[in-house]
Amino acid sequence: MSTTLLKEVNAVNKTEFLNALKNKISTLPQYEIDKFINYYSEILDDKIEDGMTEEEAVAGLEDVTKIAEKIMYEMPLPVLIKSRFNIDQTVITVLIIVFGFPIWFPLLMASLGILFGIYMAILGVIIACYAVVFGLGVGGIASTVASIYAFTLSPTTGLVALGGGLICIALSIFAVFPAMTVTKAMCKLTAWIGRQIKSIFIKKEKKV
Amino acid sequence: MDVQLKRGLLEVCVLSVLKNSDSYGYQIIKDVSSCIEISESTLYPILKRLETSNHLSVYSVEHNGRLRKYYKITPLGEKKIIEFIEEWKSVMDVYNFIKGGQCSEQNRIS
Repeated sequence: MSTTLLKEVNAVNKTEFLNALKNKISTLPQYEIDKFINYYSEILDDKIEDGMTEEEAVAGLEDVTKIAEKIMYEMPLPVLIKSRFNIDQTVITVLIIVFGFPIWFPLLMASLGILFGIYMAILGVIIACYAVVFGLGVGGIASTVASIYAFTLSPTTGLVALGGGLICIALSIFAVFPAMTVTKAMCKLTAWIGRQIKSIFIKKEKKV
Repeated sequence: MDVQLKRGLLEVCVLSVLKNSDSYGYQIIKDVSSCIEISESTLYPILKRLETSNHLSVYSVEHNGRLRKYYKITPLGEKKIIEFIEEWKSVMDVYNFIKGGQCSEQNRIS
């Protein structure tokens, strides 16, 4: 009994849902908003045609806050930055940007520098891993080949060169797997950093 | 299921639904849901991505006094399905190997 009552209180019709969604993504460019509203409007109409009531159709969707959050995370970063700062809306913002130049420009350059540094470091780790693999491989092959000549000098030298060469080749083959694991981890780290940067530009919903 | 894996699977699921006939948002969700869970908010970016990458095309049809967007698979989209099936033959081999069977040599993943 109480649950049905609760449902009735929370029941939202199509217009209310679409308005709520529009409000939550209102910082996006108008054409993006229209696309999302058309998409959800069409799906709700189709659900209603399928025999659901408006309220049932809306209740079958995810929570509007969650939908809006997903929409924002799917947006490309430049669109998010534009929507977050509403650059072309107020004169004051423009003035702050112009007169704040000595402050924000070095800060921006510094952050870009740090970001560049991080990416280079990640790239460096990956390259280093494969350099080890490559180095061992080339060294191994060279030593193995050179052992032919070394054998003509003395059997001991030849044996050492051949053994060392084969060990290097084996190590190089075994090092491929850790190198791949490291590369994968680095790619994940890059994706994670990208997501963190995106989250700066997405307004957080206040937890109730 | 891993998010990236699911996303990739869903893309091919949507394409395979469209391979049978052109379809629209709600119908795609109903068809795909019979096999794998998909929400409206998940479908949207998938359709958008497939459209941008030329795996499907979009056209509008008037239906009961409103516009309904229909999605149509392109030759590139059909190629993607074939590639997926080919690729997963070897994945299935690994699956069988993990389950304790044998791995047939010709499908070995390199």
